[in-house]
Amino acid sequence: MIEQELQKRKKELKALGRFVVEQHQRRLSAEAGDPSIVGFGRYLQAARKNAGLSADSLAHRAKLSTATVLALEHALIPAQDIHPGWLKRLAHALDERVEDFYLMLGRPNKQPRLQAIGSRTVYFFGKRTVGRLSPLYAVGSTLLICFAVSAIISYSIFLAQPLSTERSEPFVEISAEHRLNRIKAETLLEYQVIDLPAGGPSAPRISCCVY
Amino acid sequence: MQAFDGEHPSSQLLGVQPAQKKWPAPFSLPTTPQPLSDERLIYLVTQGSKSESTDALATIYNTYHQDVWRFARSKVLSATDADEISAAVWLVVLEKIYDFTWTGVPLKSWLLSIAHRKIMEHFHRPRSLSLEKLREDCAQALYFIASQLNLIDQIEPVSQVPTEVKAEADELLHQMIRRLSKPERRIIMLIYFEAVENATEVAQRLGMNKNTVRVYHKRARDKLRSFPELRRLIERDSDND
Repeated sequence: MIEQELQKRKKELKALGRFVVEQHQRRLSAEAGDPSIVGFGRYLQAARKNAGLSADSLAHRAKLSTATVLALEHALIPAQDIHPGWLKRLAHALDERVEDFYLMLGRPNKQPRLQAIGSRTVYFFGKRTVGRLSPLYAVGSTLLICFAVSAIISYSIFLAQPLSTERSEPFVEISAEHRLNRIKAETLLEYQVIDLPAGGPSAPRISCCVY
Repeated sequence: MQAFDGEHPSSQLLGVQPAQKKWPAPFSLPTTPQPLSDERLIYLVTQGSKSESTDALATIYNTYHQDVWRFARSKVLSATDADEISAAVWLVVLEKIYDFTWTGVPLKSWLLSIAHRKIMEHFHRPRSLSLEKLREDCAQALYFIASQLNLIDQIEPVSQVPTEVKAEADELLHQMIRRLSKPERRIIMLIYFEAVENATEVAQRLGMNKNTVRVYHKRARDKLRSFPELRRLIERDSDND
């Protein structure tokens, strides 16, 4: 049975060996050890044990290899090689804040703006509520975006079309006999009213010209 | 065609001597590489060049990691515990290999002795299991926390504690700081886990004012002192005084 378990762990043990050898290489290169990763590793181990998880379980929850989790706890991975995605998944698995992990590693917590808004939303509504509502939120936001885009397109199309299909005459109609006599045209012509029929464009047009 | 050597009929005329030696092979045949001895491996790790040292350590790991794991697994209840113990063993190897003096003892024995110590620490059980020993460890852990965070006045800082006590102290403090507010928790995390000593550095890392850090630090310390685990320790300390 031990041999079967050992066979299953062959890949993990090889990965652990790579971390050990790389750490040895770094020490030979006299690269200054980062003290922040030692503190981070201790905190991670304490958080894992308080959560009642083994390294294997935590690795499974955080979708990492067991060798990676053990290497992080034992400070075998330098801080610059720690992927932000690992920290996010580990924080989620341990119910910790990822900002605390960034703080331990001495990294500025440069959360994207939307993520910062999201984290504030989580804080306001509570993690469970947001967790349950997140699929609805995704669907709702997609529908809202589609609606907004379609509204913009339809509004622009609507505006491009003229309000009336009938062409309105910009000029006042002057009869031919008065056309040559400008003064007479001005005094005789008062207004010309063109009114759209009440029944719609197909109804007979009533126009009233007063001369 | 007959080789032109001493056996050729014309050799008597030319005075060619018969061949004494065999033709040497134009290339050396590949031989099976001999495994390096433990002594040679240790020498390469400690005295060799960077590449030799790295290769030697990789050879040591590849040769013995399964034996270490099997040994750990035979002593603990689950395979995951054996994984953790193996990782701890190789960490010790990284730290102590330069101090390793070759005395003829095989490398495997050294590795398994480290594994045995780690297994004992894992169980918190040097010789025999006793409740008093566990309570003593817990009190030691709390004392370590109090000394690191200056929760008790006139207490000497404790630097050298057994690894298992330190691990227990880390777990206890992690539980306690969850009850603090966010800024208080972060300050305690930096002071305890990161060993940041002055308020200026804490303020810089948190992006806060130094005086604000001092205020939150004092609040955090007062809250920690009021927790039942540490309150008993502090009361006992004041009674002893």
